[in-house]
Amino acid sequence: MSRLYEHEAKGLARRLDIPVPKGRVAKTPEEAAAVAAEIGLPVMVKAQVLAGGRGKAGGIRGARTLEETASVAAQVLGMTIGDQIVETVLIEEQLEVAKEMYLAVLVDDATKGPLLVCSERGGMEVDAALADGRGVSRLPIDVRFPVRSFHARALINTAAPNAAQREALAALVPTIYQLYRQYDATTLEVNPLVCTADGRVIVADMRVELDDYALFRHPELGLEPIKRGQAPERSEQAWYLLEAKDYRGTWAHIQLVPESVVAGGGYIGFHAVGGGESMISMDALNRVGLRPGNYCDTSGAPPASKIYRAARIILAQPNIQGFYFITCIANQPLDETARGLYKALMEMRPEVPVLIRIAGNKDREAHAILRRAAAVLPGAVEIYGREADEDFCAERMAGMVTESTARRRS
Amino acid sequence: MLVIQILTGTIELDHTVCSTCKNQVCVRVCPTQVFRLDNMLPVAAMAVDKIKSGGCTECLACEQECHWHGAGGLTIRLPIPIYDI
Repeated sequence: MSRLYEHEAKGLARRLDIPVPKGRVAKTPEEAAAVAAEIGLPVMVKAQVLAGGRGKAGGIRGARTLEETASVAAQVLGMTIGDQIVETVLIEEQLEVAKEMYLAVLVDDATKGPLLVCSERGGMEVDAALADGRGVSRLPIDVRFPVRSFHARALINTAAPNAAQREALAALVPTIYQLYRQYDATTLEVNPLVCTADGRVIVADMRVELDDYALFRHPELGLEPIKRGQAPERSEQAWYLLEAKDYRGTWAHIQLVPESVVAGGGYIGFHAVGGGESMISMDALNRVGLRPGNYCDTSGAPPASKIYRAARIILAQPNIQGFYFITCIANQPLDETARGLYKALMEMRPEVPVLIRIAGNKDREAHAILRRAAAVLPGAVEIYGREADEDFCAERMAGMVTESTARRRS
Repeated sequence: MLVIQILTGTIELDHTVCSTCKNQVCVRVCPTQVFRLDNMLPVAAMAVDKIKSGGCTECLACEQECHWHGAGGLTIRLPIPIYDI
C-alpha cells in the first residue's frame, strides 16, 4: 500500500477543508526557522518519515523560539528512524490540547467494507482504548451510501468535551470519510484528533494508506509505489518496474524478509507457478521448518523471459540455503516455463541445492530442458514430476539443505 | 554482430560464430518464424517493428537450441533494472 507522509496526508485534508494545524515542510534548519516565523511560535518540529515511533525516537519535538526551531530541526534532519533517514521536517503550530481523540476509517474483514472507529481516548492512549473497548464506537459503512452527520453523531457519542466540539466532530466525520473514498484509501487514521483549549477540533496527525492499484486514478498526487519511503527491497523495485510494462501472464513477488536478513542465513529462494500451488507449498515448507526469503508466483502463461527474470531475482538473494521451484498447472506450457528457469540457473549457477517439481502441461518436455541444467550445475539439483506431492518435495528440500549445510561445515 | 530488438530485450547474432553452424536450428525452432536464412546466416524475417512489438514471444527456444545443437552464436539479453543486468 502507498502510505502518505504526514504532510502529504494533511495536504489532502486541506483540499477538503478538513482542519489541520498551520504549517509547511522544511528541508534545512534555516527553512524551518523561516516557516516558524511565518506561522508563529511555538511550533512542533516533526520528522517526515513513514516509519512508526517518530515521537519515541525523538523525531517530534516542540520549539519556542526561532533559534530553537532551527536547532531542533538540525537535530531531527539526518536522524535515522526505523530504516529511514529524515530528509524533511514538518513545522506546525503547537496546539493547546484539551483532549485527544482517535478517528479512523479502516477496512473491516467481517463486514467486508469500511468501518468508522472513534475513541474518546486518543494519542498515546489509543492502543489501550482499542484493546479494552471503553469509550470506543464502531460503525460499519455501506459503501453504496454516503456517510451523513447523523451517522457521525451515532459514532461520536460523548467523545468530545462540549456540544460545540461534538457538532464540529459530527461535521468532520463525513468529510474524513469522503477523503477516504475520494482518494481510494485503505486506511485512514487520525491520531490524535485534538479538541483544543480554544474550542477547535483539529486533525493533529493523520496516517493515510492508498490502494496501490488505484494510484493510476490519481495522477495529480504524483505517487508511484516504487518510490515510496517504505523502502521496497531491490527485488520488489525491479519486479514493479518490469511488471508495469509487461502484461503477459502474471508475476507476483514479495520480499518476505529483507535481503539484509536473508544474508544472515537460514532462508531459501521460493518460486511457484500457480497461486494455489504457491500457498500450499509455502505451508508445506513451513511445516518442515524451511523459511522462504521471498514469495513469487509466475502464472497465467507468462513468456520464458518473465520466468527468467523472476528466477534470476530470487537467485540473487544473498546467502540463500536453497532454491525451490514448484508447479502443478495445466494452463501454461511448462516447457517454456522451464526455458526461463534454465536460463536463470545457467547464469547464476547456484552452488546451493535446487529442488524442482514440475507437473502439468508439457511437463516431460520441461524436465528434459532442466535435466540439461542439472547435469552441469555445481550444486545438487533434484527434479520431480507428478509422482511427488508438496509435502514430499518440502521434506526433500529440507533434507537437501541439511546435507548441503553439513558438507560445507565439514 | 546483428542485434534484433525484441519486446523486453535483444537478440544478438554473432555471425562469425553462426557461419560455422551446421544446422541453423534457431530458424527451425522459432514458433513465430522470426528468422530466415540469408547466405546461410540467420537474419530477421519480419519487420523490426513487428518483431519488437511481439513478433518474438521471448520463448528463449532459439538461444537454448542454438547452444545445445547449433554453433552457439545466438544470445538473448534480458535487462533487469536495479540489478544492472
